[in-house]
Amino acid sequence: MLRYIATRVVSLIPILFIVSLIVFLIIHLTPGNPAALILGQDASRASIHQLENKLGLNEPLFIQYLDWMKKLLTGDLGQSVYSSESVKGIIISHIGPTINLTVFALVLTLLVAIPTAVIAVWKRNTLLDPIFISLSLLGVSIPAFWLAILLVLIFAVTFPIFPVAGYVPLSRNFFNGLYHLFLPAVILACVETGLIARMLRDGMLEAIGQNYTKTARAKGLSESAVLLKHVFVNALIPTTTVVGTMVAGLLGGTVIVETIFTIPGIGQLLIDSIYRRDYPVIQGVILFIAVIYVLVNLLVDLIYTLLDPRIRYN
Amino acid sequence: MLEVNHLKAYIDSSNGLVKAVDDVSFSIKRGETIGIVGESGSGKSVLAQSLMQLNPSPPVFYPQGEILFEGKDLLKKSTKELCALRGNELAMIFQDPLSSLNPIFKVGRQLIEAIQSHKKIAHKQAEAQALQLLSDVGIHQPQQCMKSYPHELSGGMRQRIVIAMALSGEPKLLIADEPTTALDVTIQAQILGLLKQIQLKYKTAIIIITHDLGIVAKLADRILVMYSGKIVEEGTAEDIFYQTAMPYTWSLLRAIPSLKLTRHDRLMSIPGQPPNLVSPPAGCNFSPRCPFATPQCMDTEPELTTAGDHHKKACLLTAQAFEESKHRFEQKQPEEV
Amino acid sequence: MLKKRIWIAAGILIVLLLASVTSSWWLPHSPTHIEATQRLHGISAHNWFGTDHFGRDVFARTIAAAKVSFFIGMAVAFIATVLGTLVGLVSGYYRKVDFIIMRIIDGMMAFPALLLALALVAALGGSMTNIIIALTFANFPQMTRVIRSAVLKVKQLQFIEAAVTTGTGPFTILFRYVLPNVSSPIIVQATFTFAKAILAEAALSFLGLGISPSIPTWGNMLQEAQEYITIAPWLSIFPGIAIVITVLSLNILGDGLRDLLDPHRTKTMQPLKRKTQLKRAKTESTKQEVI
Repeated sequence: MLRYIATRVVSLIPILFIVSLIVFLIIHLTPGNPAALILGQDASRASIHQLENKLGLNEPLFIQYLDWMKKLLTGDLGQSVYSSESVKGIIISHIGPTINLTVFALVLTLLVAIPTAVIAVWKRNTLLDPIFISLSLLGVSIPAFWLAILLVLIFAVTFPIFPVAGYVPLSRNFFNGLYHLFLPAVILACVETGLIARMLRDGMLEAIGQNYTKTARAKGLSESAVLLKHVFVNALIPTTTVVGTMVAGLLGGTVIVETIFTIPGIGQLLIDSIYRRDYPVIQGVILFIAVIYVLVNLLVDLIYTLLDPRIRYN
Repeated sequence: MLEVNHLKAYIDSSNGLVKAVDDVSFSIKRGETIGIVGESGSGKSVLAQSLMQLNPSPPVFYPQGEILFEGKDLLKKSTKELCALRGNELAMIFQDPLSSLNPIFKVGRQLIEAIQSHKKIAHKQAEAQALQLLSDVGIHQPQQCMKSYPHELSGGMRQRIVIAMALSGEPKLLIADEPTTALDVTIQAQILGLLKQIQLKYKTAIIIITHDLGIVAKLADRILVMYSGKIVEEGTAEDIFYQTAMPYTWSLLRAIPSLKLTRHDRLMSIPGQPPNLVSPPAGCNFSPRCPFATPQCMDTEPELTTAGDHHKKACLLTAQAFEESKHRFEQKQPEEV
Repeated sequence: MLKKRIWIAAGILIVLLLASVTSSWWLPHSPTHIEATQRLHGISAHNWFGTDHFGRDVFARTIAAAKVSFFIGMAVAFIATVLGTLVGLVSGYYRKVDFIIMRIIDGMMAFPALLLALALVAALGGSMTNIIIALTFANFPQMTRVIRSAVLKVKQLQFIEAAVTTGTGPFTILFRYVLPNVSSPIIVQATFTFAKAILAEAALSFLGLGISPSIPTWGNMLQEAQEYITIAPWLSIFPGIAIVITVLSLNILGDGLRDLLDPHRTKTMQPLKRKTQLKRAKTESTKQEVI
């Protein structure tokens, strides 16, 4: 098992290398001069030149990458062009709201998706199944930002049940914080619920056709015992693999939801930095999210091997 | 003990109604072994699963007939009553022992679950019983086996476990759907021997479903030959093998490779494919593939009629006509080669 | 039932596309015509979806915007499919390059697709071409993965081995033998990519990072509408519904195609005609098959 974890961790190195390369190249292969881009069209040539020197943009690309990488490995993500603070510090100060929002949305997703999928499979020969499929497809087809607009219109403007926007740190007031996060989390959860419930349902339907389900029935187990003990558990294992994808979806979604609800998380930070052309921060945020995603996927993989006895010792 | 009367089991598929089991009747007594033989697609598995009411429904439904188990119709029982019967009085084992066991649970857990589903006994007791069952089915290290996952065991071991699971309720009837098809030949013999032993010990009635005539020849008191959802011949192994009365059975027998064949004998395959059960041919279902079919065979559907003491057949040919056709057929063979 | 679903979804898409492409001939209002006296009017017989803050007809804009969304969606789906198929075929078939290609793909997939697109658009600038490039780059890794795993499955099949043993060249094997057998996942994935691209384009435009605001797109319309959400909610509702209908149709289409093309489903067997049966019975009763 330890050896397996070790090989998995080592296999991350090439992926992280590619990730860093992509993050680096996105900014440096852009048409035009990055310094000019940062400073905008009205910048004087002198100030552009000054910034170029400061950022080391005159060096060959390869040297620039090595320099950047060297700093990266010591945990230095550079400095914001906009506020001169360290990018690391800025990210850390914005990470809290995003974590709260993502975890809340994840919990909501699982709370809704699992029972819905089980009920859909239980009543698979009734009208409930096509309704379930349509709803899950609808969930995937609604743009998050539009759903946000609709829900704000209904639950914050027409019936002022929830706040239109804003964020209260959970540490200051836990319930008020959750209350402010509720609508954003519901919006994020909506898409992911559609995906994961569908995946679980498909997995369960596949498990129902398997011989071990027949054997379980032949033992005389009741339908609920067959569904919950055998079918559900078997379907859950492959479903864990999409939790990684789910986290990616949630992190991508936070960009939009945080902007709409003015939550000071890294999603909003990213958008603000794009407007400000604050490339070091953009780089830092994207790199940070990618690394988080890679680590989540590693965790999911390890959990998967723990859950499925067939691949544990291979 | 079990009596099936005019049972029909149809499948409501997107292509139309599949008449998987079409007016089948038979019965089995305590301690008896019946073999049901047929090609894949002959409806034998659907028939087996109807006896346990394990067919997914929909799409399978039963437009006609009754399955009397100790006088009571299984088709009229509630799900709850059926659950009480399954695993207890009626047990079933399936073709592929790997996929019949849940891959993510240890063998012990699955076996104990089977025991506890019918007897309200403590975990410790159930475990002791599980160990006993495992040694009953010839597993030498039951302790270790309980702690294994299905994929860690050999095919023969797994089938023994499946059998142990089926025996946990000391069933009166054991239905074995292709119990040895997925196994090596040497293991096959062992498993069949085990089934025979069990029968002697528990007085269990066994229904073996298979496409392999060799298996039923060894085990079965009576054999039912199934073709496209119907029983086409029924009799003792003697009757079926030496007094064959139905061209389909005869073709099946001719298709078995045997060590006794000399170089001049030829194995024969049955031409064509099993009929489409959505729209079976008119007349005898076998007529399109039957080497002896007469024009009459294509319009009139044969009934299952008596051909001997316990011997029944569904064929329009008289015994004499059948003998003559066979003779003519064998005469003709050498010239064609 | 399944086929009906597919036809309805495809029908909706075709009608929308045709309506939008021909819109300049039949729309009563121009989507860009400014009517200063008609600002923020609600739904009426004259303006079916109301008017926006410049007095432009929202119905005309919603229909015209479909053109842009469809074009971007199709372009992204097409380019991502071609790229993904080529890379997936090579990667799935050649073990040696597979490792390298897959690490690159893994690296690309470490970014949430929307974020990758965002970063690229931020760097490249928000023109139509750049948006197509960004969305293609964000979506083609997924495509590659799907096709590679399909190729890996097909590669194990006997007929590929047979083709190799008979000396068929790798190019022929890849394009004549492997490609046709992985066409179902390609088609299904392309449909989903189409849907994803439309959603992503709308999201980018909504964030103000998409196509120039002068061009009506659903995302741009929603972005502009946000300011008037409390006084003119129709501005937000109709373009959104248009997105949902389009994307939902695409998803239903993809989902239906996946079910339809799934090789595990038993193929429909046409019942033989009675005459053919009789004929076959006669010929076969006289001609025994001998092994």
